[in-house]
Amino acid sequence: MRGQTVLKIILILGGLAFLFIPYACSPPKPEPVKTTTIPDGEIDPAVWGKVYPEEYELWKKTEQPEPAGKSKYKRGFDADGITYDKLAEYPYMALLFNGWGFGVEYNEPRGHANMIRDQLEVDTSRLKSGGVCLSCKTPYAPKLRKELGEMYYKAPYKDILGKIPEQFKTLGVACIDCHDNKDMSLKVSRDFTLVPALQSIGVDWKQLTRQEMRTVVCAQCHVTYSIPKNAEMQSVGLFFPWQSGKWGNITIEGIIKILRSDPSYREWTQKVTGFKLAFIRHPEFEFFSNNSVHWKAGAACADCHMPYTKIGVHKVSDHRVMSPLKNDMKACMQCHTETADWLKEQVVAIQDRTASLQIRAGNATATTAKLFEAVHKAQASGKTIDQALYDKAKDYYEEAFYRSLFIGAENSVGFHNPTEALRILGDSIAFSVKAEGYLRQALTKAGVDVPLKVDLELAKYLEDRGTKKLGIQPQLEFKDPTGVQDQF
Amino acid sequence: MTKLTKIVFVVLILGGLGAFLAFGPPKLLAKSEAPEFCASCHVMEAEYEAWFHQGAHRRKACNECHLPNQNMTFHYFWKSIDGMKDVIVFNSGHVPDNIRISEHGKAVVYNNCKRCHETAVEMIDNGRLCWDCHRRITHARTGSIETR
Repeated sequence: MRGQTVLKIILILGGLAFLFIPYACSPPKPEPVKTTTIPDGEIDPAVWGKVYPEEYELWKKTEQPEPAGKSKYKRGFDADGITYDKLAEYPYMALLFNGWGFGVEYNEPRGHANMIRDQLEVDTSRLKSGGVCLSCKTPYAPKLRKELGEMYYKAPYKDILGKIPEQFKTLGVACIDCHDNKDMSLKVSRDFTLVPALQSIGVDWKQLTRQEMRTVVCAQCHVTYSIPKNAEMQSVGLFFPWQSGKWGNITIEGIIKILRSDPSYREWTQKVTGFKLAFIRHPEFEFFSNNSVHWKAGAACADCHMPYTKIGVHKVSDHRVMSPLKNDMKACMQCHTETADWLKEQVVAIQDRTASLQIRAGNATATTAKLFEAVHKAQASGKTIDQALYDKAKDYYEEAFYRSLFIGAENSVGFHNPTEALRILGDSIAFSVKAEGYLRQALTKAGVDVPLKVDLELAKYLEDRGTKKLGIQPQLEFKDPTGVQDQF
Repeated sequence: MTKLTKIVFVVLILGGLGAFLAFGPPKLLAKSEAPEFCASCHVMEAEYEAWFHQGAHRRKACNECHLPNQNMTFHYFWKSIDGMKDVIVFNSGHVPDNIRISEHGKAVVYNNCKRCHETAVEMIDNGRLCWDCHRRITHARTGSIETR
């Protein structure tokens, strides 16, 4: 009897299971078809493109410029094919950078695809630092750095470039710079620069979320860097001056503190003042991540510069990295519901205001530099200059110079962090104007008369530059959109 | 009649009654899957109105986004749990003024987004919530509330 009961129970349970189990199974998860595998260390984008043709086609489009006129301030890469001389756009830079390559030729960039071509076409005085200049331009940089060690930094640029296979000599950013070949996850390829920099602010990139990585892979290159020099002025390293910063708070104050802390970080001599100074380059990541509104909203670099686009049935990141302005505000309209024209007006308004203050800060710093020149001339002719005033002016001059340089080098003309841009430029003006005051006082004390308006003699610094004999191009100059600079 | 036979009879009769109520003329199962059923609790009025005025997702019932749909077992399992929770919370008067979706609720909705839009998003970052960018999908930002 018990056997029969057990059998009945089993049958009933079996029947119930038969009713439930088919309904509890889910359909299989659809997987994209893998056409082939990408070998480790493969740099050729065409091989990656066999597996990810949509992203590859978009990446190839990076070479194509957009019609001119879409971006008011960043005109370097437009269909008009004109090379926009940044020193002509902001003439005060010609004075401030006079003394090394930046003061000879400094053009608006032409985007990722033309990075190395830009380097090959610019005046060779820009490449004096050596092979280190290739660190953010060629996908071969991590390999070369590992193979060549110390020599990588100081060997002549052409020598290191020569070690790259012929067909990839002008290859700019490629797949391997950001992606792992096995699963396309984002990874840091510049382990010799970004990884120690992140460590110095207490961040391990392997612990970051994918969204944070969508910013960090750009931070491999869109950062300021310093090339320490040895006694013979040879490049001995490459690092990001972040040590006094934190994730989401790498400030200009912290960067300046690092740059001024070690004489080996001073890479060049400014001719006008005679001072040996450090330098700041394209600090997009530091600027954007410093509490900007879009950073706080959780937007990564890729959200705006590689917005999702529908190719056929797939939604993919647009690998044609470009300015959202040139992409007709498509990236902005993902979240902002206003029209493209309305949004563009807002962007240009921010950029106009930043440019206005940048012109003010740059000219104020240039004026102070010119006064230093006058001070040194006075000292050379035997006059005594008040040392206390001089030292204070020099201290403030450096503070002003690095601040105006920071915003001048940053490529968004303030948009990445508008309030921070205006804050930094405001401080730059405060420092340089104070320094100017002290120098005027010192010169007057020494019996040297200073005119109401200091003549910057910009033509002197703009004419006849480098092997191409570059000159003044007044039609390129950005005038202060508010008109206030005319009063100075 | 053995005890087992009696139990089986009772189970069959109750099951039959349940099946009649659920699938027969009363159609209780279908009715409880309809948006009007969810909206019968007045605190859901705002969400119902928002959905009512919406675009592409207007033809989807509440349960198609807010309950697991990978398979029937999960679906009815969570329907029971969520349903009973809603009954208790509503009838005890503990409904918050500002009704926000729970973490589990977000996961369920997210999986339903993927269920229909799987191919579209298989090449992109799947770590973020869809409606962080596609804001008009959410109840708070669509339909009658947006047009207010």
